[in-house]
Amino acid sequence: MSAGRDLIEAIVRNKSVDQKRTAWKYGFQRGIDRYTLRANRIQRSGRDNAAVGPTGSLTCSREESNQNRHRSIIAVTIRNVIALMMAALAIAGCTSPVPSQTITVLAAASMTNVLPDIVLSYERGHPGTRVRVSYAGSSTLAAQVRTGIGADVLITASRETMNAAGTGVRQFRVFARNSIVLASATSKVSSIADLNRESVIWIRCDDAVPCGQAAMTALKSEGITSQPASLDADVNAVMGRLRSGEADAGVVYRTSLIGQDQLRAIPFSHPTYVDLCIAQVTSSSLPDEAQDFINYVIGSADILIAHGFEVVKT
Amino acid sequence: MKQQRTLVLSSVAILATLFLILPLAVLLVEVPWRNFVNILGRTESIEALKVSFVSASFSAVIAAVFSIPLAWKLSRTKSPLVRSFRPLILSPIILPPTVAGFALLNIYGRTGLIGELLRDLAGISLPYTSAAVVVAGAFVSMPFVVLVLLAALDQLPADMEEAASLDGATAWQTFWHIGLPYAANSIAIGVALAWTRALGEFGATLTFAGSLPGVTRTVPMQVYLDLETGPPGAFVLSAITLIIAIALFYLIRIPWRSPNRKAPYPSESPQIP
Repeated sequence: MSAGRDLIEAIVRNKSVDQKRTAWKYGFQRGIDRYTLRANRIQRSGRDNAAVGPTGSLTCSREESNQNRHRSIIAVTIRNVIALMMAALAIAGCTSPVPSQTITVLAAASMTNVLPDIVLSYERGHPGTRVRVSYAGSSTLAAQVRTGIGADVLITASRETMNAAGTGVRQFRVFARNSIVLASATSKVSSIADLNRESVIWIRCDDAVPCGQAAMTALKSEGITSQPASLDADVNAVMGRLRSGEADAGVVYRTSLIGQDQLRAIPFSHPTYVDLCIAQVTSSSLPDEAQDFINYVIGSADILIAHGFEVVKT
Repeated sequence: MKQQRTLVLSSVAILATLFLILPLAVLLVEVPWRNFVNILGRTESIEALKVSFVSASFSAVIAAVFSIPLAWKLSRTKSPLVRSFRPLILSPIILPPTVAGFALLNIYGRTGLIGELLRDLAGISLPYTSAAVVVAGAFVSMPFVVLVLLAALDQLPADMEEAASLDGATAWQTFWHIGLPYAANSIAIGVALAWTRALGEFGATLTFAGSLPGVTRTVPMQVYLDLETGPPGAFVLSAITLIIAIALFYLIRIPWRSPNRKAPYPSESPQIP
């Protein structure tokens, strides 16, 4: 193709890198120009054969000039679109096929370690169904359900937050219990009473979430009067700060400490519990599948116990 | 043909304006104005406002004080090495705020490079303090001030300084008597931008300073919590922040300098948008 010959000529004749770069663009541009001129030549050949030469006429009217410009724009656009389509096909080829249905679960932060295991065994037993989980503080999730988020199942860590979801959920069931412990990250804290010391930096969840409310009652019963350094939005945030070494101790769930050896668990003298509740979201588009998953979670006592929860026998 | 084009531009412009203004307008309409003073009087609201406004002010001042010499040096320098620092210095703008908070925690935290030094030498621990809120605010807002100042100072022609040095001015005098008055408008814009940016900072403050009412819980954090527990509080705080921000941007448009005063040459200094 003569555009290629132009390109090679331009490359061979020019020596510097900059000029080669321009030559490449120049060759491409020449290719585009040749297409537009050829298209115009074919169109004009109907009218006046004799007046057209190998490179088209040297002067043209304003309409022809506009047409030339439009055709070159069309040529460039077609080239870009084809390139984009090829790229899109390549990307699409890399993704896996979409599963037949996806259940969306909103789960309290304390379920972060146990729910993946339950979901894994559920998906194995129900091929074609995917479960997608989103973790946050229970009050955040209740607010999301109240304001109409598209989800199928809601799991919260207290009855109050489940009630706060109001008419957004159907009748809920309590399926497990969790208890509060003090997690110690440094040697500065070896007992609950150490929290009252000046130099100790400790944290807990905010009062709005179940973890924080339980922590508040537990700490009050132990006689701790000092202030925490931060009131975080959920237990995972507290765990994050503890693991990064930014705090000496934090009040978390017993289940948060299962399976890790970096933090030491110090139990309270009077155990404080939170009830884990599960319910189907009223606006769910997959009510049967959602109920199926709920029953599965309630029946997964062994997995729950393995992760430190206490299972309520109903 | 000309009329059709103008219609397209106008309709797109109107859509853009609605997109920006409608959420704010609807927010102001839905605020519970009758209970405004009551809700505002809640301890959490007042504490959040206090923390936010005080720390944002400190952040803006610190950002300005450190950014002005930085911008001056960056714009006046001729060395290509120093010029190459520009993108680096402006990079916190594109940094997601949570990432910025994480970076700050990494260096000033208990196990961080400078954090350990501070703790061992001075006994100061930065995370979870009000000072941390100021530091986080200054970190995220300084690039904005530098950007705005650079835009202005780049336009100051080099012959001005040459003329000044020919007349015997020292580098400091050039900066103080020529550069500063020329960039005065931009400094005002920059400080206002820094203040509002520090006021709205959420991710970096949360990660670095934590969230304790009255100490480190800023207005955005309080709004976030209020969304779940008591939306009226969120409305009231949002309304206050909105009104103050709008008022601020109208305030800096007022020509504080008297029009008769001789402006430094060139007579056009950068105008407020």
